Amino acid sequence: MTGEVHREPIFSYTAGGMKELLELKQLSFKYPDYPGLEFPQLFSNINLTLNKGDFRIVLGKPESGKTTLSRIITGLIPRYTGGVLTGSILLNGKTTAELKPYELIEQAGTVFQNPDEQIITTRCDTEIAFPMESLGWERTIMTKRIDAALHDTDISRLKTRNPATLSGGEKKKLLIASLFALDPDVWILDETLEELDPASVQMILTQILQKEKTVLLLASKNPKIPENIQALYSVFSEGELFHRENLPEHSYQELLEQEGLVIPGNSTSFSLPVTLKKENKNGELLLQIRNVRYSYEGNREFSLTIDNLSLHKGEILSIVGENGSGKSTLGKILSGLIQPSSGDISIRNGEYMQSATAQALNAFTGFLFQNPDSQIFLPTVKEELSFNLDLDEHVLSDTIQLFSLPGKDVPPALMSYGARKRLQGAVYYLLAKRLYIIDEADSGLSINDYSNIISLLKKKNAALIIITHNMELSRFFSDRTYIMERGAIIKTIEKNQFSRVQTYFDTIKGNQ
Amino acid sequence: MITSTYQNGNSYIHKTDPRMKLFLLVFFTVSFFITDSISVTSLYFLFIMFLIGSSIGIKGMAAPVKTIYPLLIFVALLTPPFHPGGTVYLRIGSHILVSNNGIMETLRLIIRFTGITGIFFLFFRTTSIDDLILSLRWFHVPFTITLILTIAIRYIPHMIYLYTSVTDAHKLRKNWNSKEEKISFKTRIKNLFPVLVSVLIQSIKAIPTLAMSLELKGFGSKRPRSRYMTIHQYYSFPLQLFLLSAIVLTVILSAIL
Amino acid sequence: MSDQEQKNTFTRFSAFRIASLAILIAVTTIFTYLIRIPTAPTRGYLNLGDVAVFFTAITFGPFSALIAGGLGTALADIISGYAQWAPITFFAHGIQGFIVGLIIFAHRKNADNLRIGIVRLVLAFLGATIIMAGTYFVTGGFMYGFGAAATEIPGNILQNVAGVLIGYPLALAVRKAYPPVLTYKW
Repeated sequence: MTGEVHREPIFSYTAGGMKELLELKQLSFKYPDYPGLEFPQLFSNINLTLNKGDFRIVLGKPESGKTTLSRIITGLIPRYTGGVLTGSILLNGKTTAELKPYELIEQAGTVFQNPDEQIITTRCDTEIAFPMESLGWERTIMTKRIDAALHDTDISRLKTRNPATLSGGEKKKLLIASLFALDPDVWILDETLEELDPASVQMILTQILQKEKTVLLLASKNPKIPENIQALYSVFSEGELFHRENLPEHSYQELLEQEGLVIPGNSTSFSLPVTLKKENKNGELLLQIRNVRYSYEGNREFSLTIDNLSLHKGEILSIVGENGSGKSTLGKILSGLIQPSSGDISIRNGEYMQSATAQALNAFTGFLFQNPDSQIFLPTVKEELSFNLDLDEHVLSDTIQLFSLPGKDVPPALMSYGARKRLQGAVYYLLAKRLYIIDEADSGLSINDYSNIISLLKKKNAALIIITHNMELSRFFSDRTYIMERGAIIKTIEKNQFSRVQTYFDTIKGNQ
Repeated sequence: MITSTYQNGNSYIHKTDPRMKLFLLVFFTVSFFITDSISVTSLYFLFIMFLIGSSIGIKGMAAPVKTIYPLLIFVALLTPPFHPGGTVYLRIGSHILVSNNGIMETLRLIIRFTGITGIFFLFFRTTSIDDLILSLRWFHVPFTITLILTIAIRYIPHMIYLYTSVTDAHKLRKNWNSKEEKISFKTRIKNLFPVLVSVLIQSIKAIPTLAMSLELKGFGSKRPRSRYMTIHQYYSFPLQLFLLSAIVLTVILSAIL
Repeated sequence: MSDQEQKNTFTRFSAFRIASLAILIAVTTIFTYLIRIPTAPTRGYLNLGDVAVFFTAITFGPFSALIAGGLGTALADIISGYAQWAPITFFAHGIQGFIVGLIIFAHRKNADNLRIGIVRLVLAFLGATIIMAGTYFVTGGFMYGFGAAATEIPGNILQNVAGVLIGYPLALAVRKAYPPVLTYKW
């Protein structure tokens, strides 16, 4: 943790001045059904009150309704999705039922989980300016607010850059800056702290709280927040919202574990699938890399340098690193999508190890992209699974069951993100590759789904590479962890050495 | 990331007000069409080539011609037979293939087409799309149109990324057992089809999310919009207005005389 | 083409219309600019711009096809260094899309009649080809002579053949895979 640690909360509210900014009363929601695909009640009778200056973290596994809730509060749902919404929402004591999203932006602002879906212009300053222009603010005020907001989020140097060229973390800072400039009363942050480093988290949260903003932070993993911030917690579980202050502490902790919201470090309640528990040191060699180099045309700052890497059958390797550290480049090389400038990649072909061509690697490796939609092409689950394969009904229905897919005739494009992610796993499960690379799958999947997919893929006599930025996850699942930075492996951690390592950022600090 | 043929630079044309450049672009294009005299259009042509040469360099002068030379060959071959007259240089039987009129007409078309290509090349090479959009705003093109353009340009790199990753994913799922050495036209389309479906579905699914994002930025509000960025913050239009009127006047005078 | 035109209410919002046009322009641009299938004559390759135009017209209707088809292909011209064609392209493909949209969505009562469906498609193809190839021919004729402009006609007809032969099945496949798109027409 950087910076001074204040033991006392920066903000405090007095009972007399307490003011309800946001109240949700008996809120229930259900998405509309499609033929062949029914959606259950998403949540029922949610009650939640945010007073001025509150910092409340709502935890819930993926698809528990967090994003939907944020969009209901900001007036986007059911406006865009249809569905049945009952109950009431009060902002500053007034009901929002009749208000359009653009009439609410001065009261409640939000940052989307995926910043790419929210950015609409080609320059950072015009991006921040856009909502203020909509409100008809004076140019002089806008200029002042934009500069202050960029300064507060420490991205002043990016003012005239094209947002498309920013890293994930910088994009989130830009959207936070946008809220700073617009200055709404309630801030709804959807997984916003995910890609930010601890120093940025500390800085931004401190800024928000100094301005006495009211924050609703939605997260699928218990976020590490600075100790000087006094946070309230709520948990989504089976369509209900529980508040920590109303529960005995042990039931709250149980709830977190039951929902898979904490990585089960010492807990016993989460059991690993059997295939994951076995130590896998002595499987046959599947892949061997020697002296591989790769650099992108026109980018001199980055080059991939992997001198030696080998993988055995049944082995799980984690690769941890920040955006741009070369994780995905390595993945693309191992699956033959790009070709290294030099070096050798050998793969097992029956009895022997053989230097592999790009096409051989295409066939050898299954690369599960972070975005499952790039790997889904066809109108139904059945067609998708049997694409280019000769599947009998039996295998099909088994697979559908193993990956808990909603049915063989359902259009994948209509399924939830988690289900699409599971479908992606099922597709590669059936393709029986020898190496699976799983890219950042933890962000949209519950921990149970995640470990289920990993253990099923591992059964296929394959080796696995997990790309993640979550250290705890890699400690939990993998036999070995590589830390990558600027295209090179800077640190190797074996499973048994993992004891005290906590996060990626701690590791980097310890290393320097 | 390719978003236009624009290349950053420091030349005087780069520094010229994009509104003036836009005006000259339209002005010269129209002039090329309404002027019949070869000597006058040659003058325009030389002026445009001078602008390219003096701002981008001599090499830049060849760039626009490179993109159109196959068509210029067609023009040279196909125009003369349709415009017989004057001294005949080549004939087969009773068909006049090359004559004085034909050559003059060919010259006129080549100068016109190369000139128009040159001025478009110069404009887009020295004007960023952002500046073009701001200029369009200044010429009272409605906000909705310029907004649509801005968002479209913001999404093009995203779409390119989408298309590449879907193609990559498709490669990893191909059936590698069947060895097709030659990829026929039909197989190409067959392989492309699922990729296109996937790209389209992802794009279509992005529409409501983008609409939500627009409304969260206050789009739809009935309040009058203010403007953070306008073109005259960056360029001093009145100073260059003098030069502009000089050029326009010269062109009009030379056309009349 | 079954017609479940239970309209989505959000297609009325101006934000939705702006968003759909912007995305469709981007789609048309990359279809034209990025996806090229090598073939024999004239331009040497077939681009999928017309496929995008047909898809947009069939899925989103004439007005979207007018704007997205026109601006998307014009933008592709600008990006690939053929900016001088951009104004012409805008009209050629914009009106092409508009005509296809009008014909496909005319007389929706008979939407399920296969024979009328085929007639409609043939008419749309003919209208699109005449408009698109015609616009290029006439404007090209003024710019660089009708002789040279005529050499482009076969290529442009081929573009339209690809447009209807790929664009129509594509529209059907997308409807099947993502049924909500049926309500996106405005």
